[in-house]
Amino acid sequence: MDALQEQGVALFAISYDPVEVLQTFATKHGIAYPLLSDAGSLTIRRLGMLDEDLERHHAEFGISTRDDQRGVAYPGVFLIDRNGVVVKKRFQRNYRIRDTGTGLLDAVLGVPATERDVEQTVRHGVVQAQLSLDSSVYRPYQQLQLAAVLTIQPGWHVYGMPVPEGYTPLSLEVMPVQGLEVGRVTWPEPHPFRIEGLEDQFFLYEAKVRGTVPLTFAFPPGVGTQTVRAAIRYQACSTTECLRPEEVRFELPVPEIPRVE
Amino acid sequence: MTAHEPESIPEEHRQRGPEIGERFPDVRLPDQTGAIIDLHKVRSGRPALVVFYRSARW
Repeated sequence: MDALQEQGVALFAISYDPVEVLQTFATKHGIAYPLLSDAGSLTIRRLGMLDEDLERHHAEFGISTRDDQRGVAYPGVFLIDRNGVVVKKRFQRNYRIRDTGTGLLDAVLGVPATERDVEQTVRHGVVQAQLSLDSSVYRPYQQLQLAAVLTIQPGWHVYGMPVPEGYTPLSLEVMPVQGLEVGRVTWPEPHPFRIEGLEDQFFLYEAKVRGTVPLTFAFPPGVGTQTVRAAIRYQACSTTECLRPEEVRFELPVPEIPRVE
Repeated sequence: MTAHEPESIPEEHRQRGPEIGERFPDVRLPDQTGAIIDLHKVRSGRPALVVFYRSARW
């Protein structure tokens, strides 16, 4: 929210909840921006944001639909410019990706537009790096698995351990956070490689390599969205040249599983 | 370097809600304090994010 304020961007949220519900919610989570109450869903309908398919969406997740859930809005974010014109819009269909804590906006904006688990992909030069979590939300004290996948263009490789001096090995590092327990990173065995005329023994990864690390979200209920910050480091070389070492940073916001109150 | 997200909107979502390029409709609704909020007025010439979400309750 502060980042938005700094950039001079206003923020509004709309749902069909009555004012009293929003008041409790805002107080509990320290929300200062307007939570607009569209009780009766007239505005939601007028703007074409009614989730008429709620039953079907629920069925996909094995949930039955209650009467008080009809009239609910389809989750989405609209960016409007200084003239009030819509410049961007994004929707999030995944029922589970919804934050009941302080990070409402992080949860909506931080999640990819497609229905997948939390994931980010960065393409840079000959390597595409992808970081993903095997769940889109966490339960208190749940262990999830973070996976890093590198897709390397043919003719190039990155290095595994042990690595000769001066080369940067492939690594995955998760930034320490109070409550987030980071286990051991596991990479597959690299394959040995020796260049004729050179003394050094290399261990390489080519094409695709996947590393994983267990993360335990040791947080009590009610703490809300946690952001996993991680970095993948590597150095890509071909048989004739080496590119400089790269560090690719990721931020994955992981909402807490919504609780029924 | 931050992640790059796809710009295209999936087919089923393109028609949903106010369209890109059109003025966001006028919205006047009470907020959590009960005060009536006129969205464009309160926005007051600033860009804005308008988030639709299912519920603060479930």
